[in-house]
Amino acid sequence: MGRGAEPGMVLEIEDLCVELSIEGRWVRAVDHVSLSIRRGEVLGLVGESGSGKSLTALSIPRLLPDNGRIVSGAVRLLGEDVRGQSEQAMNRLRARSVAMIFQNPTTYLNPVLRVGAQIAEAFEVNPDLLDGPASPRGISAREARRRAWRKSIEYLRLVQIPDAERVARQYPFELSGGMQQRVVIAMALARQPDLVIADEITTALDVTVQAQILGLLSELRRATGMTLLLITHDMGIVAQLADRVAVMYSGSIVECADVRSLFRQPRHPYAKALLETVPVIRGNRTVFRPIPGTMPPLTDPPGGCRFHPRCPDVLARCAGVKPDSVHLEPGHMVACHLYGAR
Amino acid sequence: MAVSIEEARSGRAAGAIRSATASLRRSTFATAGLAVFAAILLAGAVAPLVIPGSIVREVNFAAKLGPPDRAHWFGTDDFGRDLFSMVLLATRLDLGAALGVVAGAIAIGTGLGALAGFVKRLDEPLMRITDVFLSIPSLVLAMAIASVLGRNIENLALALTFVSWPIYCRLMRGQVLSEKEKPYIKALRTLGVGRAPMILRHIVPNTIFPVIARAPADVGLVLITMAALSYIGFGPGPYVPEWGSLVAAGQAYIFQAPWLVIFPGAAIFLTALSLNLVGDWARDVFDPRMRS
Repeated sequence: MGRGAEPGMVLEIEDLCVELSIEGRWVRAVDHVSLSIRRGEVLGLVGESGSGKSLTALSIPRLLPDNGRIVSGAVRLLGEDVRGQSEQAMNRLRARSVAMIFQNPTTYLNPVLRVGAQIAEAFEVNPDLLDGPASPRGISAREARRRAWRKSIEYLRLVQIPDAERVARQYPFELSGGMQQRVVIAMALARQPDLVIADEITTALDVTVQAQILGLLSELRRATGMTLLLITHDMGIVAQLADRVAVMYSGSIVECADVRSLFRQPRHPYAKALLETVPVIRGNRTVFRPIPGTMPPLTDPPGGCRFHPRCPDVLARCAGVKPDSVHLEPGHMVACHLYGAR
Repeated sequence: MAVSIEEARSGRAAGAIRSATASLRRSTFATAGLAVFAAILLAGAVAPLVIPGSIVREVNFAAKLGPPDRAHWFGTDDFGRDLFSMVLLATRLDLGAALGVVAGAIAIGTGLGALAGFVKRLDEPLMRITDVFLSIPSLVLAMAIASVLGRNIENLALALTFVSWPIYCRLMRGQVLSEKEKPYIKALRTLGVGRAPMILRHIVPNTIFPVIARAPADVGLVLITMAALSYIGFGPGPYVPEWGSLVAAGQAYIFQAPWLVIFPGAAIFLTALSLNLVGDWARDVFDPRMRS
């Protein structure tokens, strides 16, 4: 058990700092990020592209790109810090405890392997997941393969793929994008992971398929009680699926609260602005307000609060001092000078 | 109703076979090449069964250098042996050795290449070793190895394997390097798939096609090189039927009995040609870069 581990917590990230090497220079891409997820909870991690949300996610299975490194902080998965693990132990954690689902399902499936075989791999990595009378070590390899195949079909059914026996024998290119994403979800769930990380999983799909996949996720959540870290830039998806939201901007979490209170009353100017980017349909006119400006480049971030050049409520000290996190009420955190003074 | 995973795996190449037969129908050359190659393969397999091996030692100087006639289709050689039988007997030896050389080179080359591409630590040393092999003229290296090991067909094949693998090593390394960066590999890593299944099940099946595409033409090339080495004296002696040494033995009589050179030479030519035609077709079918 690591320091500060709380029972019931699947994931605790504490003061995580990640740096990226860009043109030979290390720049801070994730800056003192802390967040935690309880078992069965869905946490939405929201931010623009480049805000560091994917890097935060990749730090959990410790699979940062080659030019990335964790410089400080802790990432505790089931109470154990992944930073102290050997590569071997880490691989066991990846095989069992944490599963990631990515954006573009077409490129995330092996093109020359039937989808059933790709799901069945979960049971080769974790033979204890196979059910049946004999102990996993006691059954023949042939029997294990047979059971694994049967079980993959079960998982294809779980993600609501019709005619699962037939689909299991198909290759990824024979399936539509929505079906492929279902297969990817089945691959992840087959490992019965403690934590599922979904990184922009609906972005590459068209809107109707998006709706189906989101519907599927909320049903799966009811059925399996999965713990989900949902990474997205779409506030609508967060509203539909998440229990709590963390809003990220340029490497830091600027506000974190439960969905209801954040949507009712966002505190951080960036969170407010982000909510206004969701189109509202009034009569036959669609209204939405974009956030002026662009996110600062990682190589040259502004001093103080990184949002201050775009902030409508900017104060004098915003440019000089980085705001601390303030707990407005239990479970509602914001990092902004507007609230720090009180 | 449930399908076993074996069934699913065995049918993996079904799509590739379908597209292969389709492209075969379109190309007369490929069909001809494949037909000729199949005939040569069959002849090579059957010859030792119907022709007694003892004929290579049945020296009959009375009948030496006889022209082709009804009894001896290719004529007789300087030992008075039936050249047709000799050429036919040589088929299995030559083709078998060439196939073996390429199979060995692919096994060594793709194995090391995949390792170099996948395991960063091994990349530098393996590629530098490959560079060394590629920088020595392969014919000279093969000659050196063959002469050290001793003159027979096995050693010749061994020497050729030794000089043929680096090409495959480089080819495979490049393939693996680019495949390794593909998102599905990243996804599999997040799912904790180990190194061995990753290479064998996921990367190699996705990268092997350019290797397969190259192989048939390479068999032809090895065949010619082997015949050439054997011709200049690195082959087996006169009592082992082999195309290159048959040509070498016949050249002394090139004006007197040209068939001694023509028929074994034609056997080499025809085999290499058919392999090249098959190779062109294989490249069209298997090399993704050639696909439109």
